[in-house]
Amino acid sequence: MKKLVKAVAVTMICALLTALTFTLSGCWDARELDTLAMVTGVGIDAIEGSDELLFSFQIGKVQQAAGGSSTQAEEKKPFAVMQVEEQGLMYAIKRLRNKTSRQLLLHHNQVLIISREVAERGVLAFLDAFVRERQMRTEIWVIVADGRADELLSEEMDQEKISGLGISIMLDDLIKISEVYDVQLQRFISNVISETSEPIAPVIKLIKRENSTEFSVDSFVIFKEGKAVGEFGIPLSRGVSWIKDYLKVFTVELPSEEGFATVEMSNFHNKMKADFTPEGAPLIKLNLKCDFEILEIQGFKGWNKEEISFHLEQVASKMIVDETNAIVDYCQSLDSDIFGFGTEYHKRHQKKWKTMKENWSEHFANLTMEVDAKASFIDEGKISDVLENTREKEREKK
Amino acid sequence: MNIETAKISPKYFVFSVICFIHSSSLLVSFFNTLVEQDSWMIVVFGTLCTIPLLLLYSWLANRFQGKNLMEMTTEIFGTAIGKMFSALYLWFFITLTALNLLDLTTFVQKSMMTTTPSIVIALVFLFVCSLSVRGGLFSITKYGPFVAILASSILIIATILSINLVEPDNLLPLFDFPHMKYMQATHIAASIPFGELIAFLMISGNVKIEPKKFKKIFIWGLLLGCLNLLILILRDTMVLGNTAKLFSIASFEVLRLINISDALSRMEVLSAVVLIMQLFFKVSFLYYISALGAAQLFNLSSFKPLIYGIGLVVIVYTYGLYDSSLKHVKMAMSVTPFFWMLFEFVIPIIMLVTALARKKQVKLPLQEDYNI
Amino acid sequence: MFSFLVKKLNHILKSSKRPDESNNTEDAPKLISKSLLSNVEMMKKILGESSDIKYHDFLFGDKSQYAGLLVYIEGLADSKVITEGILTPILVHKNELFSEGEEMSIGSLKRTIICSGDILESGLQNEVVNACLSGKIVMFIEGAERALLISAKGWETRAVSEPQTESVVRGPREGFTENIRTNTSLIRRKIKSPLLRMEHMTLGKKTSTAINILYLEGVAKDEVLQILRQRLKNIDVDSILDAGYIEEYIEDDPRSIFSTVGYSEKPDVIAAKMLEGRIAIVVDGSPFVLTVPMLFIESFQTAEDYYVRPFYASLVRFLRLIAYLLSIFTVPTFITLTTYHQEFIPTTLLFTIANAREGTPFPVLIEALIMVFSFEILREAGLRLPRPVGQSISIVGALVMGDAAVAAGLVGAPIVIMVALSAVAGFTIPTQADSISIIRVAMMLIAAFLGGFGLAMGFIIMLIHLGKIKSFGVHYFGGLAPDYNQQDNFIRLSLLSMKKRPMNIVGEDVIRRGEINNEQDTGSGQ
Repeated sequence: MKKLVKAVAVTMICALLTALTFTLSGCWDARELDTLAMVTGVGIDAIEGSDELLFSFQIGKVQQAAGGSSTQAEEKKPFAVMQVEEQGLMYAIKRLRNKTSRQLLLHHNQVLIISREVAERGVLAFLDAFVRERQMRTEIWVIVADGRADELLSEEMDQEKISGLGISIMLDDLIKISEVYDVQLQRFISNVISETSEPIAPVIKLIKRENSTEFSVDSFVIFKEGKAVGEFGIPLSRGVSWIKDYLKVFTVELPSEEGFATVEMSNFHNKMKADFTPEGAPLIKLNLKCDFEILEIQGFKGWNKEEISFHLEQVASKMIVDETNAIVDYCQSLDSDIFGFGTEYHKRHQKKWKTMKENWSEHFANLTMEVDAKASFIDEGKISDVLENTREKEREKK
Repeated sequence: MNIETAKISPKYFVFSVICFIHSSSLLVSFFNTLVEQDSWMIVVFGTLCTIPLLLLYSWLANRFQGKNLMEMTTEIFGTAIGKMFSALYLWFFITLTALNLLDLTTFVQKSMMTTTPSIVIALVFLFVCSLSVRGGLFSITKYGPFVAILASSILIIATILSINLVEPDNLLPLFDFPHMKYMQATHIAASIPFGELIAFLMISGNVKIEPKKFKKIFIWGLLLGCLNLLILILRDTMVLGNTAKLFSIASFEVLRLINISDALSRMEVLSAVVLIMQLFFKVSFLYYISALGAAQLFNLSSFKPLIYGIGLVVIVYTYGLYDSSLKHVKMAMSVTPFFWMLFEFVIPIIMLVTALARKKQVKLPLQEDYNI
Repeated sequence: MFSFLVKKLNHILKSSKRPDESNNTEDAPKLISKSLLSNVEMMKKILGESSDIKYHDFLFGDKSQYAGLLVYIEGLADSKVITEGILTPILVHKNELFSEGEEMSIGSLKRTIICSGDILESGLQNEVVNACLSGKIVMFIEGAERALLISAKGWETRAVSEPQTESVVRGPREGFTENIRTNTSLIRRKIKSPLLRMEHMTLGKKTSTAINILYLEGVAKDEVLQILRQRLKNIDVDSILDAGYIEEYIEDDPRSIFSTVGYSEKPDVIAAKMLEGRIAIVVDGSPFVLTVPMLFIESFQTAEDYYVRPFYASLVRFLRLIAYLLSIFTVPTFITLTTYHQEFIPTTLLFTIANAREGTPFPVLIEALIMVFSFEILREAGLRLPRPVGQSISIVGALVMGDAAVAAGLVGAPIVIMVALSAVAGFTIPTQADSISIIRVAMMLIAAFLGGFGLAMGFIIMLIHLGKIKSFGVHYFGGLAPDYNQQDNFIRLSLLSMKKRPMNIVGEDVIRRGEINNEQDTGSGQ
């Protein structure tokens, strides 16, 4: 009897499950791929005279590949941009369901583009949704747009049709040069919630030419308390890289009166020590070492190889020191600690930090840097002398 | 009488202990908010505090060879009071089963399937556990080595892949918080994930090992399991830095950041699968000893008829435990450690004292087929 | 209606259990008579008037005073034995048969006159009838209580050829045939040890199939032998037409998806298994020989693994394991990832898959089921149709199922690829092919129902089931636990390292090979 009851129960459960599988495949969590809209970029713009923000979602559209020829499909744009005005992100997403036939899938979002106006108004408020929502990943890039964010999302890039994906690939590539471009949401949030550090974000400009549009990344925005307060360009951004040891391998120009050289720097060692001056003001000691390889030399008439390399070492070291001091000065003028010096003091000098915490702004303004940089020459490529000087050298020999 | 006659080899016992502790990586969030970047220290302290507890349990297992926890209470205190203590422990084990089922349900719902009603997840999961329990002790511990080694391998692979994201500086500053927080956190760690090892006293009579050597395998299991937990927490703290306390499941966020190439990205699915298997192991083990304990308490000859009954009780209990996960965390940080201490520390000490005072012990003759 | 269902279920449940002790109600055995005439009548009554049963009566003795009768079935008995082995000595040399005064007796006929190596005596009717039906020649003598059963089997059998189901690149190519004596002789030729034992049984009430149990004394476990003998004795059926019939009757759990009795068509494989402690069951009329007990890992081992070099063999074995997992889990994983967990697919791949799925009418599960069933139909049709038609069907199948369906927009291209991959991968493990098909569909349904969580649960259920099955007292699946004797599980280490037989199968004779003394070998090298 027991076996019988069990057999009946098992049969009924199996039948029920099978029926459920076929009928309820549209319920609960199952979502077919053709009912989803995959968001590849989110943009936030300010609206004049209102607290609300304009959220733009760049949705990668799929081409109709099944059946028929695909020649006509290339005419259409492979993405669409949908916009909603709301105060908060999540309600904007919910409202979007009334406008489109598909649900939004935020898991593949690549970038978060904030327009400059919104950055100046303050970003802290709406960032909460980006961390709390399960579908949001903290590996998205945080970018400030020079101008309007939805313009960036609506333009096609040269190599990538969908600009969200394109920006993500571009930044991925730039990281190989220097990690200063590594402004994923993870790092942004980490700086935002820390006691004293401030985040930075790269700025993307749209440059329109006749046939194409360029997306160029050539400056960074400094935040303070969630608002954008300043901007600095690529040369100064190198200073950040020197201090935070972000550099991997990168190429730099070394101009000087005697000649011009392009070198590739690698193998960076950076020792930062958080210390105090005898008076008690904070003092940061930096000890930088790197190697460089000559890629191109122009000028330097009459110099031989050893003199050139020695001179270049001096020029490189001086450049490092100058850029470092320049960026620290700039940040001190804005009172925004983007280097994480405060956290360094917290980590190394725990007890003193408890007193320094409250007026860190003052301490930061008094902070001085002691930079000791050494660039060493290691290689020169295939030829050893400067090409344009070779003819003269040949003549001089005779 | 002990109704489970199967004897497992000590290798399976050690791996079971390891799996049991592995699955506590979800419970890290209980003390993460207290000490933030020093959570790894809490794991170490918690382990050190648990070792005396395990020595106590092993002493009891050695003193009453071949008997499990419920039989021990009957031996020491006599039938009436012993049965009362056994009933208390039965309640404890059923509660543990329900709590872990709740953990699993909230985890699956939050991370993988947001709109499925949680009752479906709980029912399916408990049904699969019951299939395992029906096979008895062999069936439950059979995949212990596999799950433990799989989990460790995935942990090591994920750690290696995230090495470029690791910043050891994030572990500083050390000891930044008041001392009381450390003690509170250690108390939580020692009682909630590690102290639940008292559940293994229910199968202490079923291991093919000399009773004197029981403490060796018990402590080995604890140390290896905690090693994994330590590596996990160290990695999470070093990668996420000060954002680790924001997220409810920190290891997921770490795995999301791994992006070696387009193919080796989005790896949190591995972590989710492994966590489900570990929790399956823990819940089915606790389920098994609940059924076993209930059968022993009511003097039945086999626990098989009780399996479905206990399962239904556990499911209903799960839904009655806490109203929300916020309350769960609040209770876990304040009340539950003290409550659990009663079962994990106070009652065993009473048993120890009474056993010595009344000069009770049970010795079995040595058998030849011991493995260690 | 409901009570009808209930009764049906009851019946199915009861009848799938292994039969218990059968009641032995034997009547008193019937004897043959001394009179030839009544014997002829008895035979004709029992066997009927079939045209291939021949009765030949003859007189012998120097004065033709003795009468005898030969009963045999034409086509089964070798006529050469009749003429040269039986009739010639008796009829031609009738004058020298019996010296003066010696009594004619069945015993003396058997031992001194008839030229055949295998002669039995019997006085029971059913033995005589069975012998006649098995191809022996029955000789009745007037006045004798017992008849002679002379073995003369001479029927057409298939020659020993390469087996169709297991082909090797490097290794012996002999395969078993349908004749039981040929099969046992093939095994004897592989194992020339005096420890090889053979036990005989006859099963099947109407087919009287001869079954031989072969094992190595001391190497095979005694308990397994006892269980096997007991289960074989309990088989009480009409017909045993193939080894596959016996398989179900002797299994521990015939309702499980996984088969716990192994089979093979090659003598070297069977010999290797016997040397590890297994017991072989040879069934007359079937070229497949069964081995018990069987472990899960055996499905992944082939004979060729031991004839090629260990590194390559390990790689290929690992490949088979991966193929097994792929075959079961590819399609369910695809369904899960595209339906529930789109976040686990890399972005560009997701766009590609979404492109392919745009415009297809069915949900992924229905597409997958259509493709899987089409493939099963194709496979089955390919087995059944006659050779000349085979080529065109394969082309039609590939084109129709693959290209045209995708081009018409009925199914998406990724699904076709996944199903094709999983189907082909399933063929690397032939013994598990049937269980793979079932498990794959079950996993697909579970995955479509509960997503990744469901897939994990399905995997766990499969592991639990594997862990519980026992094959004749030996655990079917080792549980993937680290163990000492892992030289032959998922990798194959060098033969030099396999010193002992597998501990869970073998009886007492454990050591497989002695120590190889390499120190003496240094002469040739340098």
